[in-house]
Amino acid sequence: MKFFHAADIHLDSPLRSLALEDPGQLSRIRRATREAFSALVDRAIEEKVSLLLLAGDLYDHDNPNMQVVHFLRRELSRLADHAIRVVIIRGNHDAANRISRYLDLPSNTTVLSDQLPERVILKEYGVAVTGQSFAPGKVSQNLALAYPPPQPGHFNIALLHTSLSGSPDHDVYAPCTLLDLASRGYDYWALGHIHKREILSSDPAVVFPGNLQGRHAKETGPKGAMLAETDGVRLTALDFVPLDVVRWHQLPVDISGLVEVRGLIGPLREGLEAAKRESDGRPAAVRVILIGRASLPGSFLDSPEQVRQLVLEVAAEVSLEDLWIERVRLDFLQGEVIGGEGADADFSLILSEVARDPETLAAALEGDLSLLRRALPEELREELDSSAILADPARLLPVLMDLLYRGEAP
Amino acid sequence: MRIDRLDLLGYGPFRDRSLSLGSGFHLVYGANEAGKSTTLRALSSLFFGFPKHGEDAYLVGTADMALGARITSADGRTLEFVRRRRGKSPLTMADGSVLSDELLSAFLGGLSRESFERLFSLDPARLRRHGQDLLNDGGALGQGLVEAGAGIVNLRKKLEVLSARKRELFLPTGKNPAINRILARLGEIRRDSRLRTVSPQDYLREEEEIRRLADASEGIRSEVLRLERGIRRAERILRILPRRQEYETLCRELSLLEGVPLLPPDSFALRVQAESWLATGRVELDRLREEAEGLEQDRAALADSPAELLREEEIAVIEKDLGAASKSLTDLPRREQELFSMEQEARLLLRECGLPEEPQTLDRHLPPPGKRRKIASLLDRRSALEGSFQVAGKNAAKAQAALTRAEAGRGELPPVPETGALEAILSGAEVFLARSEERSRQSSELLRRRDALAGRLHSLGLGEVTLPALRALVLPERSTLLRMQEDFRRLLHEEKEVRDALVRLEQERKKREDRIASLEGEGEVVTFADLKAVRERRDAGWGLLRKRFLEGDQSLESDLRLFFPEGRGPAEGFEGLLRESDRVADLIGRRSKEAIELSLLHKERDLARAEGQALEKDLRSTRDRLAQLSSEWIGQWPEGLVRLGPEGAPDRLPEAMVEWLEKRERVLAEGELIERLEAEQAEDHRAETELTDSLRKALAPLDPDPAGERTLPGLLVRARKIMENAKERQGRHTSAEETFRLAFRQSEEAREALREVERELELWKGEFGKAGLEAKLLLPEDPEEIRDLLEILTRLEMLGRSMTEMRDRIGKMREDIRHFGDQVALISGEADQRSTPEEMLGKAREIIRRFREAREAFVRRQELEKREEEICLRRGRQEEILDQSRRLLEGLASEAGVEDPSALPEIEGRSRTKAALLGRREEVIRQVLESGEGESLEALFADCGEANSDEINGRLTAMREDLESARERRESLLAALVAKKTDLDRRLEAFQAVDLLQEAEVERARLSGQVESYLEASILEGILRKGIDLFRERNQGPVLSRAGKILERLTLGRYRGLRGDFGEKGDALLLVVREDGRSLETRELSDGTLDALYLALRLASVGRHNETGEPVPFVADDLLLNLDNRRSLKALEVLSEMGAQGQVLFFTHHAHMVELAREAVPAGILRIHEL
Repeated sequence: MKFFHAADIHLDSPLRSLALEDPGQLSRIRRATREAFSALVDRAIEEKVSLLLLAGDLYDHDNPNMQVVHFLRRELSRLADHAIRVVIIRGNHDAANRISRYLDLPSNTTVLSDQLPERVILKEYGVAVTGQSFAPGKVSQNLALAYPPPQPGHFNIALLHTSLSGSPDHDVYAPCTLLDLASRGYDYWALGHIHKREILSSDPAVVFPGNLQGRHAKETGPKGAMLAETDGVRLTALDFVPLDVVRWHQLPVDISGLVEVRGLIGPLREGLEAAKRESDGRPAAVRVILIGRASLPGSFLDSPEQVRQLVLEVAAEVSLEDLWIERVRLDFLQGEVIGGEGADADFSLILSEVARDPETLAAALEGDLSLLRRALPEELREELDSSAILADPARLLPVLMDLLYRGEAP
Repeated sequence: MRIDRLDLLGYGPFRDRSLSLGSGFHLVYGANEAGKSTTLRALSSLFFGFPKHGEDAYLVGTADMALGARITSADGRTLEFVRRRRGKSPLTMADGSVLSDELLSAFLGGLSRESFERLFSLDPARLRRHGQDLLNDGGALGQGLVEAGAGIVNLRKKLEVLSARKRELFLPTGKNPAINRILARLGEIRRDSRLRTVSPQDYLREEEEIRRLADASEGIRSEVLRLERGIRRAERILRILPRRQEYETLCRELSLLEGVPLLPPDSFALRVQAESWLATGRVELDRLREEAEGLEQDRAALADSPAELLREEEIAVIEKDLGAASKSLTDLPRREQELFSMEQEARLLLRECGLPEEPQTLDRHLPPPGKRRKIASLLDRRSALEGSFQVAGKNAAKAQAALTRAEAGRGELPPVPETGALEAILSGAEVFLARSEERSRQSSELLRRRDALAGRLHSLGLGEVTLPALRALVLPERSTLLRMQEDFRRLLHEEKEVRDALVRLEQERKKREDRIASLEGEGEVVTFADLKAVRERRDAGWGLLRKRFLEGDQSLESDLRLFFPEGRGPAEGFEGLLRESDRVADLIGRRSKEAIELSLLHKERDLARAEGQALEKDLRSTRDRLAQLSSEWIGQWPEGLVRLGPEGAPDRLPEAMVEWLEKRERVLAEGELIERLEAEQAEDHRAETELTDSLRKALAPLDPDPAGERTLPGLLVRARKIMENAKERQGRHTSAEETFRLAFRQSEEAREALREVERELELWKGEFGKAGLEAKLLLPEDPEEIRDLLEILTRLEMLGRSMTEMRDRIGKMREDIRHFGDQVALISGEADQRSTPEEMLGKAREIIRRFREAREAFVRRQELEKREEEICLRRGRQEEILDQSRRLLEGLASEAGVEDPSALPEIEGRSRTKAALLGRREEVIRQVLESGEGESLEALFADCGEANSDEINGRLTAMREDLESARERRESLLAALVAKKTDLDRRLEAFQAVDLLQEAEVERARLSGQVESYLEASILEGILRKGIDLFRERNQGPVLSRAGKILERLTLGRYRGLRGDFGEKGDALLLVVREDGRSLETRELSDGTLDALYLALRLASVGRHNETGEPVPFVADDLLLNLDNRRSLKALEVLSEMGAQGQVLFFTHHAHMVELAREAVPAGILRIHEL
């Protein structure tokens, strides 16, 4: 029999940091996580799988809205129409979710208990699925240790939402080691929580399928679910099936040694074309990062807006429809702009001195910025306070010099 | 750093040009386009690299541009280097090694190109713009200082740009700025999102309502079904009742026809048809038999003539040729007549040409057409040649006449005079005269200068003094001057200090006396000295009393009276003293603090008095020394130049005399210049006299009317006239000679042309004779006759061709007639008989007629035979039909059970009635079953029972009304249900909160970008404002004080200085202090003063920079254009002082600026370079 293993669907979670101007683009991603889930259901029907495993975090947040319930019920019913069983555990994001209470599950679907490990046996295929949902609150105990011994004479699958031994990008939940899992005697550990796809072991199979749809610029590359097959004794096939609607990319462009702006366009175009190609017909959301030591002439790099415009123009040349620039990050080292020993009567040196004293400057700006801060939503307040240019105002000096001396014949 | 040498190796108009500079004031003078601006740009390019677009590459290519320099830093290090545009290492040192940018930058004190170009160079346009900015900035001190100190333009506007950028992004109470808009949109999304969310409670409520509606609808649906069933049954019964009655009737009628056979439906039609075929068949057979007999008779009547038909082909040939033969016979005589006429005409024409009269052999006598055409073309050529001959003759005559005229004209011209000597002198004289205006201008300038010099000599304060006397004056040495200046400064300073100290003492004294008076005035404050004095007096009194009364010394009586002078006795007086001393002691005890103060004040008074005396003594001594120094000082100068002032000091101190000495130097220099100019004037005068003499001598032999002219201009006018006259005559001679040469050449050419035509005519004659012989024609003389002859020959040629054609046609016609006759004879079998053509035609016609008749008879017989065959066939077919019809009738009768077919019609009628009844009964059964919904016929008839249709109709109406009402109720319920479901579906599907969730995220991403922009603008503004404040704090003191002094000089003392103050809003303001001590804001200043103010600030900033960092040359580009000469002089003085301490490069293309610089800048530091 064939089965699908997916996790971290995060239904209705929005895609981050995309400052899209075109309403058409917005409409393409409004329901990206739902569309990815529908694609999973379509593919399950098409592949004639017998079982779908969802290893936690089906919902993104606890917002009692019957629209998502309605959507989920419809999709699960489509699976039921094709006699596909669904086994779900709850993860840290949906453990306390009240939506589940209003969800009349179709007969094909089982949500495993959050009190004890629970087992579902699919007799006709000789497959046993064991797992335990997260209870509301922080789950810091090693749940895997309490899983019962495997069902004799069956292909045993274990469902678990876990951070394993820890990952810097994810909070710690149900921690355990790979050895803990490998020693339990199960044939397939269907894990969830870590958004990056990874096959940690092949015998037994220990698999994180990653999330179904990348949600920000750090969740790059193809996203989807694992399609597995068993003969009731061992795993006979394991393949990744991409199901994402939008694909994220990070494009580092090294600008070291470039002596003219034109030199930047070539690598940029190549990178963007590759991103478009690798997105396989989906929109590609790209974060462009300029790195290296800058030696470009003039003040081109001093104007982030000018750099951004250039990137947008090249992107539009590569594809008008399917290439979206999420952000252009300038991560390069800039040459010393103002230097030399001079008199304290030199105004540019005084400006440099002011810019290199962020605390004093921040105090001077406090009155100005506090009004803005008060008006902003919470998360942007934090972003404002941790802004890089506030910590290092000296990087704005070239812009200031340009403003002071631009367009003025000496 | 200073530039010792600037090498313009390849730049702009320069190639391998060097300017030797060094410290001091360098005035670089060049007319327009001399390369002044290029040299200015060269300085920037030298230190900071060539600009990307080489605008100064017009003499050398962009790649070959090169500049070099030798520079010296403040600490004495030197650097000699070259900068090239081409190559990997643009900077190289003198020894060819690579020079790093850092090293060069160190010599410039790390200065950027912007700072160098803005702070250290200035031109009048920028000066004016900066001045206006000071005004626009509202006199903001910080901005003014920064603008002057960093050369930035319009700082206020730049700050405003940043503020505006911020305002565009965010306002705390605004609606339109970008951030405010996004925030508002986020709020909208949040509200909208709440509206779009379907909560579980909502959802359950909606579902309950939907269920209720569905249940109600379901109840009504069963009622509707029941009613529909009832109605259907009643309607069925109503339909079946009449059918049941009809069915019973039909059954009864059928039982009566039980024995009648059911004939097939088509038996009647078959019988009628068979009977009809029998009747018509018999009639047709009789008609056919009659027709066959008729045809037999017609055939027998036709004749037989096969012989004619056998010769069909031969007869067809004759039939075809018959028409042509008869036409040839008719036309032949006419053609023969035409031929005869032509021959007659040919004979006549031949006779006319003198050729043999034989029309038949015409070809042989006529000359060929080529020869005739040659003769005609020679005739045409002759006419053309005759025309040319006449034209050439006329031309030759005209040319000869022109030649004669030209020769006569040449001889009539007057001779040309000899003017070589005069011309040689004239050019020199012209040049001299051209400068006369300038000389007179120089002369008046010289006069003006003399007057000015006199005034300036007078202003030196030496009375009427001459230049030599001024030059010869014995004046103190510079060292003496410096020494005495130092002495004066020291003494005057000492004197001032002593005076200040005395004033201070006096002020303190006044204060002290006031205090003492106030303390003593109270009467309750006494000093210890008072106590001591009172006690001493008490003790002295006691001593007197004791000695007088206790020791009894009478001599003291008078002393005693003196001591106690009052009317009271000594005892009372002594008691008074005792009380007084006690009171004073008490007072001291009670007001000890004041007492101590008063005592101290008394002591201070004494000390101050002593100090005052010492100071007075010092003052006197200082004044004595000053008087001594003054008399020594006065003695150094010519009588009356320096006098003793009222204060005992000289009226002119060393500073003033240094200026005086400088002024004397300038006066002497001016005097020398005037003397030089005077010498030049004398030289000019001498040259004029010489020129006049030689000119007069040269004119004497040429001038017919000298009229006693003596002046140079007058002589020049005459000389010019004579020269012009000579030139004009020379011109006429040249022109006449040229005309003669031309006429001669034209006459020669005309004669040659005439001869050429005559030669051609001779050639033509030979050719024409030859052509006549070749044509074998005797040609007449007259060309017209020749043309007539040629025309006759052409006509003859045409006649010849026509006659040949006619003869051919006649021959052909005769041949056709003969051939036709042969054929006819052959067919008619009379080949050997000769007959006339008319007989032959008759025979042919007879043969053709006979053949046609035979052919028609043959065709008619064939038709008849074919018709007989057809009739035979038809008779056979008719007989067969008759047979079949008889057999059919017999079969029908046996089927109906009768022997005689004639009984058939009756049986057929009854059978048809039975079949119709049966059919109707089947139809009734079908109709009943159709509305019976699957029930059997019996059951359906039974269901009707004894029903009455009226009663059923009544029930039906009632049921229909009930049904209608139930349906209406159900429809409205269903509509409500659908609406409810649609609404819920819409809320669940179409109208989702999730859509807004993503939109909110997009808005947040956009907001993040805008916040970043706001932050950037805010930080930029913060850095700039803070920078301005810091700059002001650090530079305000030194720059304002220095700039104030410069301003005082630039405005010739109208303004005394600058100061900073705080405005109403607490902002630092720049104020200008007027001569009378009043402070003005910048908005109260004129444009000129604003310029001066900015210049003062700028020069002070440069000075401050050069003091605190590596000094840099100051470059001025025609800077003083907007200033009048007096102010320019002052500005040049200030600049020359800067030059004395460093280096000033002053570029100008105004000559008067050179003069001003000579006046204002000490000769020791002034260097003038001309580009």
